[in-house]
Amino acid sequence: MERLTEEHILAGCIKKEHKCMEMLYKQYSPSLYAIALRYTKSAEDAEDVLQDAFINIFEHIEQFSGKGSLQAWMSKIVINQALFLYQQKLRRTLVDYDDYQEMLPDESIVVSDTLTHKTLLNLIRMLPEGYRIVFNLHEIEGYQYNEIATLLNCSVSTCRSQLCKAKRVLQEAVKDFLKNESNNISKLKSKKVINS
Amino acid sequence: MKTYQNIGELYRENFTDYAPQPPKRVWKNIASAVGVTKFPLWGKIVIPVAGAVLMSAILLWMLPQKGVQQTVNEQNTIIVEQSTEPENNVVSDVPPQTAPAQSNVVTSTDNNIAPQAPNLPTHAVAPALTSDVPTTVRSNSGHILPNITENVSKQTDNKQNTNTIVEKSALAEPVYTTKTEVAKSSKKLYQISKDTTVCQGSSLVLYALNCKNPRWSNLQEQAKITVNVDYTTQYWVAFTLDNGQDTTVYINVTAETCAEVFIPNSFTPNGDGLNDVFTVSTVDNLSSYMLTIYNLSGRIIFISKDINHGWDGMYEGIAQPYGRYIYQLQYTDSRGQYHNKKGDVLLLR
Repeated sequence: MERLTEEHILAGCIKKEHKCMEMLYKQYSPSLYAIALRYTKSAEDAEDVLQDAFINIFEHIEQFSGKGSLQAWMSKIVINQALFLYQQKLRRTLVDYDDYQEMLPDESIVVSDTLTHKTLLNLIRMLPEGYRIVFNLHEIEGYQYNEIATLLNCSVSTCRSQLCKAKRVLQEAVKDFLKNESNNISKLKSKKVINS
Repeated sequence: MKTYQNIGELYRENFTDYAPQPPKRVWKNIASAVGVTKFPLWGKIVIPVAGAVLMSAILLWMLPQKGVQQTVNEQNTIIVEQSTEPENNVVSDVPPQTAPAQSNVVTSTDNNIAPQAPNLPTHAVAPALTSDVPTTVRSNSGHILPNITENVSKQTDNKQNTNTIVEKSALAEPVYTTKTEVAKSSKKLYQISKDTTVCQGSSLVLYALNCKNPRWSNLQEQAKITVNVDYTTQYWVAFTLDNGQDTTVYINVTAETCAEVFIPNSFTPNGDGLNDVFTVSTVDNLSSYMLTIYNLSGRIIFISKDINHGWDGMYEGIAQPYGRYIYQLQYTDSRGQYHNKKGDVLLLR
């Protein structure tokens, strides 16, 4: 098995070569799975999203223009797939708040190393669909408000308000978690002291 | 402990390098949905195999008929040979009265005749004698034999002597008569090694089979001897012919220097330009070449059929870790000799 470049793998995927498709999957599935996990409510949903996204990728791989990076193109497909999954729920949750002007002051957060990806994912999954998706799109993927508005078929102000709420809720959640954690740790420490 | 400006940064920084492995079932689902299952590959193997089995079955079914035709046809040739026996067997029977210098001729002709005379009848007899197909042979014989006798009579018109024998053998007991005829006609044949060329320093077995009382140039007296060929040598073997006369056969063994293939025992794919790639080197022109690298769990991680394309320590774009890797090197050298070398190479970083 010789080492294959991205172009070779792409060419093989267009020809529907099993080996190349598997290589593409092996190379990109972990990072795409991470994206799917962030947008979905559960690991099962994330698997479904990843699966459908890859099926789409393999069916339409010849449409990849080669302008941007393959990673970005594939991430977009995964995100679209996730949006598609929550389309109906989004329609219900995304209520327009045209006059919502609340601005959230950015608060710095001090985080210990114990805050794992798993806890971060659990926290973000507690958010309603609209909050989570807007937060992901704007804060992590770096989409602009107007882009998000066209993607979700809502107004820019709705996006803003959703993001603002999302940030606040998430911030509280992380703070709570850290407080509990420190409490837990101090409890553990005191227990140890008592025991010793 | 780490401080983030806001909640967005916390998530952004934590998730940039996050790449968990998705469960294996996801790929299975994708593969089956896209139509990339193992079945097409499977089919590629199964269909030719099934075809081969079918072909061999048809061949096996055809074989009994062919067998009868062959036996009878070959009886004919054998008998014809018998009738001309004195002329044909001159070489093997008549002792060479000439000088030993010509005895090479004897050996070569011996070797040429050897497969013809004793082997053909045994092949021909075998299918008819086996217990598996006696019924088919008998049922077929009724249809086939008349034609053959016609053929035989046409062929043997020139040789009136043999005509009667052929008819008898074909009609009555074709197989057994030929067997006895062959037993009578088979003569002992002297089988002696031919002149050969070998790699310098390699060992070679020389033989003088069916030879009475062999004496070799290195004073050994076995039918087969093993010699180490360090340089071009003329060996000889003396033996007693059936008629009691002694003869000597010379065997010329030429020693050639063979080109060695150098396989390094380690390489360092660290990009410093020195021994970055695991390649074999030789001055010989190899007519075929294949290098396969396995890791210690037995997975093939590199195959190359180009001697100039070596392994750079990568597999699927991932630099392989320090350690021992198994190589298998198959090549055919310029003299047509096939080599299969296996060993291990150390990857150092």
